[in-house]
Amino acid sequence: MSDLVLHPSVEAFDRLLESEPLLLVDFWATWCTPCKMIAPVIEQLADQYAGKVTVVKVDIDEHASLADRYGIQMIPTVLLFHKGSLVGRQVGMKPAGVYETMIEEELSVR
Amino acid sequence: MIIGAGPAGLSAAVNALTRGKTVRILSGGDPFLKKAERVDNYLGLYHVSGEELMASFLEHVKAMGVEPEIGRVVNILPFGDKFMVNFNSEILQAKTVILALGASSPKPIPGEGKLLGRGVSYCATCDGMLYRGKEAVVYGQSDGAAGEANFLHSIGVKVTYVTARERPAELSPHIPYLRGTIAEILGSKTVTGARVGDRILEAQGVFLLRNSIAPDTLMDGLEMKSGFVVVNSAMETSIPGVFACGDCTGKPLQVSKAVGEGLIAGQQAAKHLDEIQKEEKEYV
Repeated sequence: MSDLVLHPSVEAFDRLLESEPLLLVDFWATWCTPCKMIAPVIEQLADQYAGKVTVVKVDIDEHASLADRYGIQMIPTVLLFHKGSLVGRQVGMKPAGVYETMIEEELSVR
Repeated sequence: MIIGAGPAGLSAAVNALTRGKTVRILSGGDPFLKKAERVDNYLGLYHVSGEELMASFLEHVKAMGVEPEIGRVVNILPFGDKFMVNFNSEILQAKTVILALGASSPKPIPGEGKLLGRGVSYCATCDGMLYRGKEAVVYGQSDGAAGEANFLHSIGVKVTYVTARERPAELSPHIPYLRGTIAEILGSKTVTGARVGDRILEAQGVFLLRNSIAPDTLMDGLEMKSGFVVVNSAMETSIPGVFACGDCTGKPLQVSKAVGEGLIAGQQAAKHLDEIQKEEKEYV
């Protein structure tokens, strides 16, 4: 498991949301098979974009308030934030390239 | 990994096996051919029933030591040079994938595409927990749908079961049943309900449980044309390492064509595996 993927509390999440230029959030749960399938993809992204994108995972059972806040209706859902504003949303399991494109597009305009 | 156990999938299996490859066949249940009353255009076997033909195909594969595994492939994800396959909520790994899914690409229900992941789901065991304490409609079109509805009920989802068929015997007596077809899924940003005839069922979730799943729903980014998987003459799809054969690649939807394409897909997948192995050796 990559050390670069964080598992913040709601308070820590809110702090990261404000402080990080780019924050990638993977909403998941322990019972969700597709979430387990993209876990290595998310870890790879954390390594690949180390220093550029902060990567966190939110267990929707532990932090239901965050899942409600962002209207998570299917998991995995991956959101990308730029200084607190939502700039990207991928619902369902996607191949690595889809997340890379979402991140690259944001990096190119920053 | 071969997805589908109709003539194309089994032909691909035979041809990958004869090249010494390890094969697993995942099957959703009885292939369409089994229902065909008579097949008159399969060379050498005049006047044969679909059931007989299918049984002899299956016998052939079994004699080579492989038996199709029955269950549901929910999705497939490429990762590096491998593939992860979600089969009955278990993650299997494969170096190459052959899609032999058959032709029954479902016709989408109005609202389905727009609300997918916003209340519309194809998998109760995947997304069910999100609807605990909420109302959900299960549209049962597959053999295992009643079981999935019972699962949702057991975790605390308020389920209404809709199907065009009779009430399934195995459906929990606590689940209300409505006979009909879903004409539309309602909601602008998220699902608010489903329309069945003149009735509106209020719900936050709609589970569409079909036997067949559209190939590009199974695998994100798979190139499709008019409901069929796009392949070249080597049966390669738009995703490297993924091959397709049989009815899912297009017309004519005939056994001979499926068997022929299965042969090519099986051989090409074996060749692909040899190439990977060679690269790995060179890399080491």
